[in-house]
Amino acid sequence: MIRVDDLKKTYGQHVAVDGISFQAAKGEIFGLLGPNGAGKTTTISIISGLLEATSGTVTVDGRTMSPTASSVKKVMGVVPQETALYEELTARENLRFWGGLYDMSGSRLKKRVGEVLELIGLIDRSDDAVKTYSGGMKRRLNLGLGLVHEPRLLLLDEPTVGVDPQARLSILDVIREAARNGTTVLYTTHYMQEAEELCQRLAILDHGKILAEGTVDELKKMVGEGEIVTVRGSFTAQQMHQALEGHPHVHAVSLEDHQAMLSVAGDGGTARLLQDLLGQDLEVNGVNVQPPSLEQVFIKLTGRELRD
Amino acid sequence: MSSLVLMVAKDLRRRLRTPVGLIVLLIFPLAFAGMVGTAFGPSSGSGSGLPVITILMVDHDEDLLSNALQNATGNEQFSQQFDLVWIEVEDEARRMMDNGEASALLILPENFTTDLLDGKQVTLSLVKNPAESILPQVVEEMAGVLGVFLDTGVRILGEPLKMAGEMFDGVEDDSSLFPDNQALVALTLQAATQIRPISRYVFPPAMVFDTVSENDVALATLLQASPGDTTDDLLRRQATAAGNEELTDAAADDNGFNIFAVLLPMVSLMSILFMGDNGMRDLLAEEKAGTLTRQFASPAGVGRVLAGKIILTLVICSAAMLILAVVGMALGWISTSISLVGSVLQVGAIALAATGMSSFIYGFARSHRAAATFQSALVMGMSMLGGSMVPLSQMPDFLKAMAPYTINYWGIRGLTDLTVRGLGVADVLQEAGVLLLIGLLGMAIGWWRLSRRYALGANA
Ligand SMILES: Nc1ncnc2c1ncn2[C@@H]1O[C@H](COP(=O)(O)OP(=O)(O)O)[C@@H](O)[C@H]1O
Ligand SMILES: [Mg+2]
Repeated sequence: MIRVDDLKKTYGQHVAVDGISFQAAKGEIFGLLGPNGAGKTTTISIISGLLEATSGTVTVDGRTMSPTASSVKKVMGVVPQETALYEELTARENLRFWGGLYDMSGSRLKKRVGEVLELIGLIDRSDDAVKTYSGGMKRRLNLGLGLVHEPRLLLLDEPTVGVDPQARLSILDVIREAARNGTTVLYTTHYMQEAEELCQRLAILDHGKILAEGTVDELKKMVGEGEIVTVRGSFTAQQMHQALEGHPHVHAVSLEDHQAMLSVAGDGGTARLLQDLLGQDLEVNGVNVQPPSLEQVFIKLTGRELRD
Repeated sequence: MSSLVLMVAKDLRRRLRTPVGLIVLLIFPLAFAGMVGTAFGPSSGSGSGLPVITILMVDHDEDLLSNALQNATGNEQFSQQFDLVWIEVEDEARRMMDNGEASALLILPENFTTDLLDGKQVTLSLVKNPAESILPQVVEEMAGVLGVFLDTGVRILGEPLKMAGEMFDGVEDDSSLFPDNQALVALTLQAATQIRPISRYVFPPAMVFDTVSENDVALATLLQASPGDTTDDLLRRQATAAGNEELTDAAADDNGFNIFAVLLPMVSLMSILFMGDNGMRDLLAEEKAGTLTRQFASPAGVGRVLAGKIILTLVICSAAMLILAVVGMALGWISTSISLVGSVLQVGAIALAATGMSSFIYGFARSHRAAATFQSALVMGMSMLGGSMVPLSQMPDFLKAMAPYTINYWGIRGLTDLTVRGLGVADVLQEAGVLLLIGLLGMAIGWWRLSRRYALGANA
């Protein structure tokens, strides 16, 4: 459905997007997960035709995207990171306008506007001016505007930033619903949790490069299949490294002075490791055991934590 | 094509939801022409017959507006009637009042300029000499009119003035940077000396006069005026107080010469140029809202979205000119028998020129904000030189020579050819031609520049 090939965007010396490639199939929710400044918005802007790429191509259903390719733009729905609405107009008027811009009209537009209002839960307030809405309602309308024309490709740039938990759930529901109806979704976020919940496949992006790509399970396997044990104490990295020598079932995800993140495979492996560590002269004053998550994948790939 | 219609319709609908700015721009030329026309019209003989009135002024503000006021009141015509003495220390001024050395004392409060620009209510203190009866009354009338003009001016120019203020922050007291503003106040004060009390209530005053002197009917009515009052309420109250004698009606007089037919074109041109800015300034609003970028991502694309904005501006300017013409005719200021074809041509050309100028400026300015600021200054400058503020015949020769470089000049000349001189379409071809050229070129170049800028990703 959408295919991105070796996309690059530079601003002077600065490389914002550094040769990324991926593809997503019809009805798939594909995630771009990365911290602030990773290049998510730049990528979305190029795909939606707002920016020209320095090099590389974007094809949608085999047709090449460019800022002037209006027939390609027509099948895309774009939901910008910041809400972009006409505050003086009502939700219905906003939806009708955007539907009209994408060549919808008459009874088809009218019917679809009603459906979207229902979907985003604004039917009761549909004839009030947008400026009277709460932040969460504006967010939902912002999403709705990208859906009126039933796009085959939906581009979402961090649509849940600054949204209360309830509105977030309803936004994720609307996105799943769109995907069920065959829309391909490209979803950017810096929330691991959200990426894990929503996306069938995702790419981890940092400094404009894709570091890893796959399903959530495939990515998690990169840090091992067992448990993740985080150990804190007043040890050095060197000491910990030595202490681990007799444990072939343990891999260090990250290893620093005073903190080690370890992936432990096999039944009872964690208990054996802890007993051994405590038996040695290592000073341990905190242990945390978790199943593997994207957080650890990111740490393994970058050596940094991905924080909100 | 249909997406252009959609975009313009959407923008007009947004305008109608928040119409205040446009309404003020529409009322301004009508109110201004009405007031000045009533004051200078042949029916109100010149030369007041009053002795020179001495007024003490204390300036606690020392900002843009009070400086402009100081400069403006230095002009010749004004000093024939008034002797303004600026006193540094309030106590000294009050002592002089107690000694009966002046007819009135007007105190400009601290933050007068900033509060007025922020739309806050400002209280001016007016102390009248209780020993005199008529002269302080004249001062009060004048101060009231001044209030209306400042208020109107602020409603129209508030935003650009504030921006200008920000730009020149740190430049101390150099009021020569604001010649346009002074000119406006100067004209205001000239008119104010003879104007009738009715003019005070065109807008509910944003200023209250805190007068220290009793048993005065006009004062009592003035103080009753609160910001919530409608113009009608105030007019009714004022009419009752004044025994109805002052409610003059602004119909054309019988002498054959109709001053309104001269004034309305003058002021309309200035207003229409501001409307041009008002239209293109929507780019700024949509950029801020994020809807501009969002439209660029739609199939309409950059070029068509920008063309939509330019067409919107043209529609606003044309509609405004049409309304002004129709109201002017309804008031009897403009003859209904003027050349229809000529008027349509000239009015359309003016709307195009205003749109072209605005598109051009937005196309070349560093940012939309800079464009708005620059355009306000340019409109004021052109209005001064081009005959929108002072009739060309009253201007010195070296200024007259510059007039043809303004849109106002060609606009006013064509309009007065039609309204005053009763000429036909053939006689406005030159004026309309110049304006059409300015308009079409400005629109084309402005559109091209803006498209290029946005295509290069200026929005991202
Ligand atoms: N117009 C621009 N000019 C220069 N650098 C930019 C511009 N837009 C983005 N960048 C840089 O490109 C990088 C990626 O930005 P962005 O795509 O916005 O990241 P994200 O959306 O993942 O937070 C950042 O380092 C950012 O500073
Ligand atoms: Mg971003």
